[in-house]
Amino acid sequence: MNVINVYEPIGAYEPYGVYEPMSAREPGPAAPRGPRAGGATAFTLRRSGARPLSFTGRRLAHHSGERSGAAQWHELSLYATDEGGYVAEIRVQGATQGEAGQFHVAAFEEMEAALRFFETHDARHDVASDIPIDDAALSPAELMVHAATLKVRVAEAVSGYRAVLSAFLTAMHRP
Amino acid sequence: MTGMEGAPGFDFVLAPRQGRRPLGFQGRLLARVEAAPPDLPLRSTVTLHEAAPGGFVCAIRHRLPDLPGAEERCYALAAADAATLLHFLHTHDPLRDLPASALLPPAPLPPALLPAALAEAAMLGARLRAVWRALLATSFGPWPAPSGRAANDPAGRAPRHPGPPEESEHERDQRV
Repeated sequence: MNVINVYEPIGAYEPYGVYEPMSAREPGPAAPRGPRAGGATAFTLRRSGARPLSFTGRRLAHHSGERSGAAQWHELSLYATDEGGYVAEIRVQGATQGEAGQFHVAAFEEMEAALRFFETHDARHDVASDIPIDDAALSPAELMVHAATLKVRVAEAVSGYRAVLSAFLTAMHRP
Repeated sequence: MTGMEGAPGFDFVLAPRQGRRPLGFQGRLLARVEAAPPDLPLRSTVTLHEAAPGGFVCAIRHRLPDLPGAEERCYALAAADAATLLHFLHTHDPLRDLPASALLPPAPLPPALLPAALAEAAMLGARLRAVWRALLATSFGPWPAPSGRAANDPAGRAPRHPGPPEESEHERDQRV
């Protein structure tokens, strides 16, 4: 089992403020790099608006925020490639996504950059508007209700993503 | 939180944080308090650890046991002094990151029942905030809010976004 430390140590940066940006942190220790023997799998990850990304490696961590009845949720995965790099994947799934979903995938040389990909993801953009804006019969009151509903969905997408990310990063820690 | 080998008397602790990496430190549990009223959809736990390098770490964990997957919303802060930690606790709003489904019955609701469900959800929200304030007051004592805050918060509601610790006059002078 490789050592993966993705937590932030205290002491060196004290005091921590709840709004101190991640960019103010020094990169933490990362998992060992370089080719790995055994356990490699070929992956082909779907990407929204781009060709699939294929690589050979293994999945280091995965967490899904799926729950029954949820309109939308996020699934996070981190892979280590046989070339010593990392691939971060954010899947947006749910009833409102239909068959399409959204697939945010990026490759990085360092684990720190991959972690920041997760940390800086803006889940607001993952919410698709379902307001029937072209419906001429839509009254102003209905439009207001639709807008308020969309605002709640956006807020919940952000909150839900942050909760999934918290569980993902915490579970990733392997001493 | 996870324990592993560490300094004598201290265990390694991971404190999850909403949207961020967990705080990891060698710590010793000083206090743990919990509020879990059976009629509310939220169980809140506050832990206070002494950190081996010095200072303290306060962690808040809200569990939503009624939702599939037992979702959590977690927050943590490391600080050197009690005042900063109390500010962190007392300005925290337990409703800030809650999904609406935590307060509302499962959808879809018949239109005739919607007004009553919304009214019930509003009452639950108020109760959650009241229970949170009671938990803090009972466990950590009353918190003298900084002057001016009460005037801006006549309802006694926690702000949606707790800010960083306030600057002292000396710090303000340094910055200027």
